[in-house]
Amino acid sequence: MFADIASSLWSLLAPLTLLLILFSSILGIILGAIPGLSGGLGVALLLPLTFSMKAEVGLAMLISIWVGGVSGAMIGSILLGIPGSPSAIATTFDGYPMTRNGQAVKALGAAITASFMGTFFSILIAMVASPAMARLALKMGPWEYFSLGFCAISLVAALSKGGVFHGLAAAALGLILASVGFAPIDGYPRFTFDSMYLASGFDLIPLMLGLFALKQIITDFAKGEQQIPSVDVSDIKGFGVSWQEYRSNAWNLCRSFFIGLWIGFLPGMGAALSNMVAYAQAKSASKHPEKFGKGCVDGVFASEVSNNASVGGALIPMVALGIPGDGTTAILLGGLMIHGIQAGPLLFSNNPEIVYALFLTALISATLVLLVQFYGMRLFPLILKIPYHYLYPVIVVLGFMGVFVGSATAFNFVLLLGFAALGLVFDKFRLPVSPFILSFILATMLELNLRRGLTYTDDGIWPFITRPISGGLLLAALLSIVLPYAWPVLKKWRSERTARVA
Amino acid sequence: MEERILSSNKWLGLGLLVLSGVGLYLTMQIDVRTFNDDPGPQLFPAIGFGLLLVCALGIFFSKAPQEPARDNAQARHIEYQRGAVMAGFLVAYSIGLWLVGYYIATPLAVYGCYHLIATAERRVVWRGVLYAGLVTWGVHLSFVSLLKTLLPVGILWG
Repeated sequence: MFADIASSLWSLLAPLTLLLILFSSILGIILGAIPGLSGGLGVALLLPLTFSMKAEVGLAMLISIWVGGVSGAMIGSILLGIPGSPSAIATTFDGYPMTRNGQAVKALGAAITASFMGTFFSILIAMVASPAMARLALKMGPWEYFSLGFCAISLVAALSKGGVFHGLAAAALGLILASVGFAPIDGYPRFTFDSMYLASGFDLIPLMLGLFALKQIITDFAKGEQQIPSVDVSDIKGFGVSWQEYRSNAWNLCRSFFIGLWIGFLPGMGAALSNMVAYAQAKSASKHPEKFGKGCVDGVFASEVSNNASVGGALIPMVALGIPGDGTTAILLGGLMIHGIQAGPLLFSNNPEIVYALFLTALISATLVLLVQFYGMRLFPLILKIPYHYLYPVIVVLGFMGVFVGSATAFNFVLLLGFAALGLVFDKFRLPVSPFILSFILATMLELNLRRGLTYTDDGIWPFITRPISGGLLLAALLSIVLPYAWPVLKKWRSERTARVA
Repeated sequence: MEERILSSNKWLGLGLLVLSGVGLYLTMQIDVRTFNDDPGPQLFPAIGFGLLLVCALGIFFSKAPQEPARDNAQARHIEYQRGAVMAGFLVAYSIGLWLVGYYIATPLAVYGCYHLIATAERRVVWRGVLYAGLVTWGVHLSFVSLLKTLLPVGILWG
């Protein structure tokens, strides 16, 4: 293990690689800070650039953008009240009021240090826990893998905005879209209509770029958005947070950290959910909950440590099980596959240098992000001033070239535009994108394991239900779908019963 | 507003219902001989379309939450128009890439995008032209010179 770590570290400390990590971390911060964009978009945009790189270098670039993006999302939240990405929504609740109260320095300082703590310690835990998880995962059969994937999709669909039916419909659309092309096991061409373009199914890159980048550009242009309003940076000096404030928030930081780590670890969850849960917990456990929402530093600590802890948490299932923890790790997983590396239990024995390079990159990137953010606090508002008429043409060109370089076919332009249109349809009809992408990515794994599970024994679907882990996961999936409907009914019944007794 | 959302829910439900019906029909056309109790390649799409059918019915009959009124009809109309212009521009760029290739389509598209997004008071022609050239050259440098990948050449010349 230590030899693998040393070997990975040595390759990452090469000056050119280190420079690439620094550049990518800064790019991630910039993308994370710009509302509507995110580190995830950066990972999707730059994934094609890594095709011709060495696997470790390409992945280092993608991981650094991700780490920078999650951390950088707080800049827009604090300075403008506009979250750079969903992972920093809760940061806005107290970060922006702090800026309005003249405490922008303290808010930024708290967010920067909390972000660093979240990423750094979650990665350390992921490094230690992932091998154990991988050993456990090796004992899992196709029944457990199917149930795990199914549970992840159900949880995301159930927690999505718009209701359970909307979430499940989006998930079903993802499964259907992934069915196009050659089926696993027998290679039967499904829904290809004798077209050679459809034979290999739909590519992930046009799907991601269409749904996020192009759709966002069309939406922003339609709304007439030009540029983010200017920001006063006159009071930005140092970190501005006292040791007393760190000490008084020690328990808040610990609790929020583990919430972020756990939610990040759950397949299909991620920073977008963890910051909200951690903020809610911090508020409910606080001695002064009335201060929350009016500029309380505790809320910034909770949100930022949790969303960054999700980075390490999300890496655990991705590395150990081959299941993405959130949308960005799904793209990273795609990146691994493109480089011919199969994430999952065997990754530790087959490619240990890749695993440790992945973790070490995140640690290096987190440290660089801390330094860049500390020294760059005065520059962040300038980045937010980039007008859309300079920013969006570059994204359009990178999007189109990104889908072209993978396959060198103009058919991918059609897919890119088609997925952008699909994104607009999803917005129009309030269909959530997360379960769609998650099920699209997990579909092949789900189908393969479902069919394997059905053929390995003569008991049909029963092992899926009777095996403890598989059954438990299916039960969790079922509860996640049923509870949003059953809970209000139960609450009403209980309150009526209490009223009758009284 | 509630009526409008309810109506959009009905349309979505109906659309998904039709899609799931067509999909289930196409799935039933898959005919493959399988062994060892393998359910075959039709099971998974059948599950997907079956789930979609249930959701379509659920969405069709569900009550949509009430939301505050967003804006007036005229503003929405302008929004749709602007969205259509940008979508048309993106379609034109993809056709341009396909027909005449990267080196002709991209500078025109970058300037076009700059021209579209910048308002009249922000628009400076020479800056847009310079920016278009820089972006085209920068992407060429990244993809062709550094990464040795291909960029679209256009079917009219290739």
